[in-house]
Amino acid sequence: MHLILHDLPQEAASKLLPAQGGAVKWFGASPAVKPCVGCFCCWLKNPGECIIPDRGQQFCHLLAKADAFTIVSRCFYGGLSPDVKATLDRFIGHVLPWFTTVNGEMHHVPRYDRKVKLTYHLYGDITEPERETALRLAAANAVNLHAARHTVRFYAEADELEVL
Amino acid sequence: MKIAFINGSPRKSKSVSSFLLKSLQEKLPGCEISDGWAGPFDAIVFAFPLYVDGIPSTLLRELAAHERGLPAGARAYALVNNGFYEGKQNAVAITILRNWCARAGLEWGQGVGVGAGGMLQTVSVPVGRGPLKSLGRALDALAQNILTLGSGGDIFTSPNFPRRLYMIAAEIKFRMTVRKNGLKRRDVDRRLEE
Repeated sequence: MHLILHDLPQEAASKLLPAQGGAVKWFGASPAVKPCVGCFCCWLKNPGECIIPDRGQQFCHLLAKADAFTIVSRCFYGGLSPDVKATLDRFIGHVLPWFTTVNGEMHHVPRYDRKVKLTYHLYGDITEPERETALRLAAANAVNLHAARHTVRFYAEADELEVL
Repeated sequence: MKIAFINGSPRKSKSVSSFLLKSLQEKLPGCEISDGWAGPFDAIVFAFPLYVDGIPSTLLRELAAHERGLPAGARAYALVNNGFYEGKQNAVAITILRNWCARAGLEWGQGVGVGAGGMLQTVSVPVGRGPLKSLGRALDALAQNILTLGSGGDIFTSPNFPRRLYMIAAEIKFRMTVRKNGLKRRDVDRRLEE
């Protein structure tokens, strides 16, 4: 399944994203889900799923089934938009609390065997330093999500998005 | 000197960020420190936990709301902590904040990335001693820069404590919480329907 997390208005999403159904599933980040409060319940009390009862709970269920994970977001300061980030912050249960070492650094053990293909489509007025930051962010996220590989694309306007 | 402290942790007063701000405040004698965005101020210090290699969405939203109207030329500093051992893993989040500063018309001061955040309040030694020795040095350097409204390269600190032991200690703490929550070890590894 291809999971697309996006912050586009409904009309733009219908025009710019691959149609939903079958192998494609969208998760609209707006209006935002409740923010992660750092309670660690998704590791230690309700493993795998966020305990905050809103639609953000569905995000980990979808990510568990995804082999491709695409993020479509307006770029904020070389990072993601607040709405997209609020969703992604709820992903922690996707990994286990236990630790391992990756590339000589401490990281979490994956909960699932499947490795996603991670793609970022970032749009907006993005400065050169912000592009560099976004590339580093995607690389760091790819390690923590245990992605098989990752790609980043930039667009000046959302209208130019080419999400396959 | 007027300094604004922004605690960007959703856990607020219980947070490691709060602990780090208090530890920093002790090294800023004679400064007028206020909590929150209200100006005027000469310096602004952000403390927040690393969330998925970036800034928690709650603080990110506040930053976006304050892109205009802050005291031009004020210096911004950051104290970012993560649960992993290596403070260096906070580097990208510090850069995101730095990019925000460029848009908000603030001058960049310095970022400090603190590893093993969860451990800081559980060890019974003062900052600057034992496992918190390198943290103490980093906070000293940061405080020195703030007091002179200066800038400096990012500093990344890991505890003066072996990584392997930190990983074991953190996992023991997790296991204790799991048991307290009435779960078994194997429950923790459960998978949602794939």
